[in-house]
Amino acid sequence: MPSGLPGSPDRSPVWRLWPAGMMALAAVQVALFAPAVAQGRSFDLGVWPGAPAPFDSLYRVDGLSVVLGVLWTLAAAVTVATWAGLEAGGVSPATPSRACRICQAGWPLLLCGGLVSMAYARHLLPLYLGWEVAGLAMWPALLGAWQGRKPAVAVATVAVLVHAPGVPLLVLLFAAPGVAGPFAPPAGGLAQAWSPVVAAVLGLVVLMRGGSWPFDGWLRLCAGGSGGRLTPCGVYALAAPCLLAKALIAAPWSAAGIWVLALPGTISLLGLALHVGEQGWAASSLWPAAVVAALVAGAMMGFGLAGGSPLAGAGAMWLVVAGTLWVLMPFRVLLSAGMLAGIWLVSLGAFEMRYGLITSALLPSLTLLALCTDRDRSGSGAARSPHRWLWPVAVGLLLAGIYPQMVVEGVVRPAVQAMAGGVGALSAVSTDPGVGLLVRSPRQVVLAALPATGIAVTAFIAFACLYWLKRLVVRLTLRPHRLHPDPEG
Amino acid sequence: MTTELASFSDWVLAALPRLFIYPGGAGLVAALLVLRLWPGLGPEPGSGSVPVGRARHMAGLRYLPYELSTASLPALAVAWVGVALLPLPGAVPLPLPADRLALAGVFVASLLLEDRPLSLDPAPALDSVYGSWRTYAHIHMYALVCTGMTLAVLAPLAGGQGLMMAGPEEVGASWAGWLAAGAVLCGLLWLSPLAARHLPDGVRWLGWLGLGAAPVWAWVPAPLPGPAWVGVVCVATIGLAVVALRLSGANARGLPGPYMRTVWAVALWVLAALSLLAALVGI
Repeated sequence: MPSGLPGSPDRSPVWRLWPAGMMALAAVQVALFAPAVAQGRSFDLGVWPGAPAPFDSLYRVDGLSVVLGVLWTLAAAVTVATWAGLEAGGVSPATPSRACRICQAGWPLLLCGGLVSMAYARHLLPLYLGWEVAGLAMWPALLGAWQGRKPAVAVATVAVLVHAPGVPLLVLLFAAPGVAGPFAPPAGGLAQAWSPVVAAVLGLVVLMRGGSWPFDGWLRLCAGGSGGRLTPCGVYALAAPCLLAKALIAAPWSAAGIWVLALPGTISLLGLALHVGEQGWAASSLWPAAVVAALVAGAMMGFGLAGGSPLAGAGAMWLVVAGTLWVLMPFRVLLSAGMLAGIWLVSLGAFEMRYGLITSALLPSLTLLALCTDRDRSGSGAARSPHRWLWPVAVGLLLAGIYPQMVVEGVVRPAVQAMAGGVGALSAVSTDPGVGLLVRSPRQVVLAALPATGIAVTAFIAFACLYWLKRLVVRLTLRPHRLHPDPEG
Repeated sequence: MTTELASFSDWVLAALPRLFIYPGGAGLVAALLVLRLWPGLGPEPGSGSVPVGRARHMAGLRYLPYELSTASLPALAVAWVGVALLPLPGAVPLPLPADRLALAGVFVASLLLEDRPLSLDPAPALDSVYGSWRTYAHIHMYALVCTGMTLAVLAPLAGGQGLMMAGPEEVGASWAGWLAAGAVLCGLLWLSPLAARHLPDGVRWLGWLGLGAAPVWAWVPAPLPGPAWVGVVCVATIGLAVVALRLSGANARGLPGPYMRTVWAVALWVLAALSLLAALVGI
């Protein structure tokens, strides 16, 4: 409005009513569903009373649905409230048409409706369509943000990267052999195992819609178009891992599907880390986009790894890392929603906790260290080249975190056995997955121990303490004018 | 709970008191504070309007927060963990103690995690306070000394049947252990001006001391508890370093001249090599 964007008439009462209405909707969900869910009950919801099959059970209320429904409703409320107050990024047309105004003013309804539909969807089709509807909500907001610029490329990019990949997924849902169909009920009913092809396509769609590397162009574009903030786009991208959660419940994964899904998530997360390492955090406006992308890729790994795999729980640690990144992002309004989702998802992963939870703590910790350090560096202003030699180490540590036995059997054991003089009988070399490598002599005396995992976790604890201590010290003792203390005392 | 998970949990739970109380945590902070009383810190005598005595008083402590804000946190954290895992008398025993190789590796990792080369002063504003130690800590010489320290603490392992020679029983009974302790002492003398001025270096200094003084840890006097004995040795080593610097003609900043620096570095390498030789021949 200079003072606002088209569609964000902060003087209009409707923009004040939207958030209030959505918060009331969240309260209604809690009041209606929480008591039943707390008693362990779940029930179906029809599209309308007395609807014929399958419309009589398109939605279902259970613990996951209520949590996601309330969470997304609140996220939509916060998004709309933030968008209404957004001033940077666009120039209002002099006289926008009435249709344009109506369209732009209606996107909060699409956003909230699509997300809530996703949350309570019982079948795959309403789940997917809800996601599409939520995606439509981005357009009016984005067009407003890009008004006065050259939106053609941006619009085309978003259209291709967001909506196009969903078509093959839709086709697969309807026509893929072995898939029960778009109205397949969740696990326990006529659930079917996801084939690797379906898992790969779904993973690709999630990566694209989540703005993960290498499909992060549209999310960064949106972040730049909205003055560096993620509003509808951020919420939309965040819905990607939650779609995975619902899909996971709707259809259990085959073992091959788990690996197929985890692989692109891993590659995307590593690629994002490399990309961020090269670019640094200098472009602060891209922070939210990068964080959301990391969250999506991490959650993708999490859900991919949490379905009864021996690596179960490893993904939960990625969620911890991604959730922690939320603390560091400037757009703190979404922090609570993201953290709540992260905590809940982590607790979900904890049920499937296995050895991977322990071992995979190694690399996420180091990744977090690297990201925090890199961010601290960029805070000094000058763009510095990162330690490129650290990235191969990080990749190696990732592999070690995912499959530590490979390191033990392939590297540590040969190295120990090759030591001059030996450190014990070869047959006595054994591994203790809990703490690392143990080498015992024939007298059963521990001669060597490498509790690398424990050391890594302890180092992470120490780093976390130092990080917060540093922040506390800077805030309490080093005032701005004293950042360079006067040597004269 | 699976066996591996239980053993891992036991290990981490046992490491936490070490990390936050002794030898890390409170014990480490106390040692660092003593190390911060190093002479020669503070503004140049007579500079500025502040009385010289007051300005120089406790300069190492006063600038500790600023050093924390500029230090490399990963390097500091890893060094802290290394100190916490040291096999010192009186420390909570670990279910599976870290071996000497792993501990030396922790301090090397801390060095590698330093994001600023030592040839660049991480705190230029403190240059006039701490003295121009950029010229003191040339990166190549610094790397040479740290490599020698690593060799010194690992040399006694060559004569053993395993890597678990971190305990005083194994190291203290051999010549290799005593020679390694002497080598580490020379290295500590070289590093002490840096340890008083750079926080991660201070933590690593204490870690090297804990590893190198393994023969001393075996002689805990009966009336003294383990932590007190460690404190006595630590204070004595710092005092010895101060005296050695005075005798070697250190300047007003407490920085020794190039001749003594070279002597200490050479002595470190010679003693480390002798320790390795003694370990190999089994004496």
